[in-house]
Amino acid sequence: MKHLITIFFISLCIPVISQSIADFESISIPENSYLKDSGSSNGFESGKIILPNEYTDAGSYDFWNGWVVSNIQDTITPGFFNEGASFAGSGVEGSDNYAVSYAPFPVSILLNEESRGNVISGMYVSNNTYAATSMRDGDPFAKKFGGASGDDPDYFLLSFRKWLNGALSSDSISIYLADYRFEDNSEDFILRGWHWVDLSPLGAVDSLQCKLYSSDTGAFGINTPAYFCVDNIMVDQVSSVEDNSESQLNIYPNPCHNFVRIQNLNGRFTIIGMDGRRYIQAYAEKGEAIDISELDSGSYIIHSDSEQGRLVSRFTKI
Amino acid sequence: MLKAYKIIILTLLFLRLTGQADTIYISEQIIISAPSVRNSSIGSLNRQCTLEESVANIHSNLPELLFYSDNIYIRSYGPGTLATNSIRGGSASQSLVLWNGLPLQNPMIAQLDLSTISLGAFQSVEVTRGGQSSLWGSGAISGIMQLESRLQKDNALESESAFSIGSIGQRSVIQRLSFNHGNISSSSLFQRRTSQNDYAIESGNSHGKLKNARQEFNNFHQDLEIQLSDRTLLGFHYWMTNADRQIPPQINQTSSSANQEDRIHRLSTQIKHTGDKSLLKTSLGYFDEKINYSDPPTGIDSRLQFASLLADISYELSPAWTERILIGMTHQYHSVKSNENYNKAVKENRTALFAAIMYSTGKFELLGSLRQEFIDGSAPGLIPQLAFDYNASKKVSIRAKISRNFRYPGLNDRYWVPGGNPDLLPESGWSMELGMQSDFNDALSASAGVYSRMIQDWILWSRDGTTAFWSAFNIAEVWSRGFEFSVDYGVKLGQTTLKANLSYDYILSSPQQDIELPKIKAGEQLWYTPRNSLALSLAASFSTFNIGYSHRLTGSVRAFNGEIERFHVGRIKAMHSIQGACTLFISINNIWNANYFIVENRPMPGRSFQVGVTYNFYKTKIK
Repeated sequence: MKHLITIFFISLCIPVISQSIADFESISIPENSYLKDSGSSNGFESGKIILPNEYTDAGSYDFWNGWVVSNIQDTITPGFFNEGASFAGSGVEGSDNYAVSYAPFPVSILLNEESRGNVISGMYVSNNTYAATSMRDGDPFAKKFGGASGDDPDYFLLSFRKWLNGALSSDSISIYLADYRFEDNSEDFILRGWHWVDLSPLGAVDSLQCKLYSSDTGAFGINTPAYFCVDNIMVDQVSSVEDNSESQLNIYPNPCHNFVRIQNLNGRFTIIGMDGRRYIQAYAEKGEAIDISELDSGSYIIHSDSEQGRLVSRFTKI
Repeated sequence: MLKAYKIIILTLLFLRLTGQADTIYISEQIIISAPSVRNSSIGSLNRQCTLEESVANIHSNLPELLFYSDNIYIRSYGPGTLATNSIRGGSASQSLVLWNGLPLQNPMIAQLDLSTISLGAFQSVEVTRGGQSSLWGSGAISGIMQLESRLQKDNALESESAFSIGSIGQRSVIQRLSFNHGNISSSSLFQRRTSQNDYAIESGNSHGKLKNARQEFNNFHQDLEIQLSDRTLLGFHYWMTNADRQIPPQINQTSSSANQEDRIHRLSTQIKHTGDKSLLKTSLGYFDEKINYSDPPTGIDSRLQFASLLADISYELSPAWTERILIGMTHQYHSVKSNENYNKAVKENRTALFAAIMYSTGKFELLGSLRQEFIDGSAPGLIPQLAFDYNASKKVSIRAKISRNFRYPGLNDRYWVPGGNPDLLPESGWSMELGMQSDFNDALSASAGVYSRMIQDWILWSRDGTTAFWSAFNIAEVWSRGFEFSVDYGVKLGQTTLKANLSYDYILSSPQQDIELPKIKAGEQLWYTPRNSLALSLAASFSTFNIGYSHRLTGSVRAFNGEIERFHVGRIKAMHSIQGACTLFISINNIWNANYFIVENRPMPGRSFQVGVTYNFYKTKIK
């Protein structure tokens, strides 16, 4: 009993962390294509995130730099003409849209002006189909990972560093999009599907720098097609209870054990794990106890679409 | 008497000069042959690869011939696949291949895929090293190669068939019908070369046969020369090449479905008029080339096509037996027919005026020339050249040359979308060379030389970090310098003739400042430029038998992803002529079965053989 009281007070005293998800679903894209031009905004905006985009229309050809937003589901076609596809085949959890970056040089993920200095707690990352098929099979410009023998210790790494107050941190968080460095070649992998990258250890950021590294590098830089995809970029916003109550889901208790209640929800909600899996989708009334006893301990995202837009929060089950 | 003396001197003088001969009438009774001013090799090192020395050569292509016959670097992706050359550390765009005096370079990429040139219709290939831009224009920075057609000259009608077969599915068929009667010489030739090219690959743990590597080359040549009068010769030449090639995978690639089609038509006419003391030459050419590259799994279907109209006129005057004066003009019109990768219809006009003076005495030959180009209205600087040969003694001659040379950017460099840069400057710079030739005796001769060439505004495709695509930039100043040595030995022992040649090249070619992308530091050797290369050829002929061995050592080169190790390759050829009408040959390539690469991840074939027969099944004198 004493333990529960302590948790209750902690939940009242700590600043409320509300979450925003940049899932790009509100961006309208023609079916099975990708949007190369963000228009006049110089970037694609979703949630609290801006993905810089530079677009040039050169008549018979057009070019982009930075980021595009896509709903292409092609996981098969190799080559440059499939540069806009995620190797996962869709967005996270089967959603339509996701973002693709071309990053032979570092690219940025920006927080919008009012969100700078907050924490990007993480995002889902997947391979791009062009890059993945090139690593799997090789192409005229890039090697097949593992080489002819399969023993070459190849890798394709995506690394995140933070910019804060004009300084680039030396700390980084990385994820291997492909790793062929294992002694046992059967453990070698090219990432397929979406994988969560927990970026909360980076703390508060103004923006993130994303940089690709490949073992297949020559005089022209990275030979591996320098693409990767992201989805559901989550931003933790530290705010007071009052500030938050109108726009975010107010969850209590948090951390919680077998039940959680949502103070300001009357409607459908979804609980997603950090692995991207959708665990619960149901209907709840204000303050109704939601049974989460089946869930493993850990962090979860709960979101609900309302007239005010998407309301999101994170909670921790202990 | 004085006239005859002068003629003899002039004849001797000109015989020293190697090069494609033109005929100059000094009087109606006496005819001498000499290379024109533009074909003279004063101040330059040149070497002629004569195809008739080995019938096996007619079944091969230009890069295969040059690989074994001349110590220049051939960057080949494999037999029959893309091959370019590098002379004296220059890029593939910095040398010219000339056919009837007209450059064959693709104006879009400013290069020529040498592998599309099958050799059945040619008599010789002459390689002249060193800058020749003053006389031959854009691209003649590091050297030129001139193809000389085979034409019947002996008042006969001849039908020749040649057939060869070899390992990895090599087949070659040549059918040639030629005649010379009175004022008309004609040669019609069809050549078909095919190869499965499925040679074994042994690289690391990669074993197996090369796949998707089949090739087919079909060539048709029609050469016609009509002696319109004693002084006027009309030439007509047509050359068609159809090449269908599968593009094999690299060793670090699982498979490839790519293929390339080349459809090439080249038409040229020449008029050569010889006056008492003059020579007028005109050439007019129309080239139409189409290159289709497709790779179905990736959706790539690239179609490039251009047409070129080329005109070249020169007039040579010999006011005195010691002097020859040349003036001339060239015009090139290039039009890109495939606008897929261009935002506009790309056309280019290049006009050039050039002049030269050659002064010759018994001991001294001097050549000075000057060129001014006009490219789409703009006029880059003057291109001068000064060269001399000095016969210090009967056995020793010294040659030297200083010249400014240039290469105008290709159309892709300027207009390709994306990345073309219309503001590119031409590559240009000065070259100097100094050499010595010594004929020790009738059997032994040697030559050696050094050269230095500084080229500014070297064009490379790179990225500046602000765009998603690569662009052409004037990115570097490149200094190429080196040393060349060659020794020839030939002796006749009874009925046996022995010949040997050894040549060695030492090349340094490096940018003068760091380049970020592609990454190379100042002073480092350029990619695909071996510092050391050595070629050895040995030949023996006895009666109707001929046997030869060629060996090539190419030093290690820096490639884009690492270093390619040096390699030794040897080839042995044997021929037997039967009653002059039939020649049998066998050729064993890469006889030591070396496992080697010229381009990274593109393995070259191991030991392979080729046998063939050439048969003149009909030859009759025409009365």
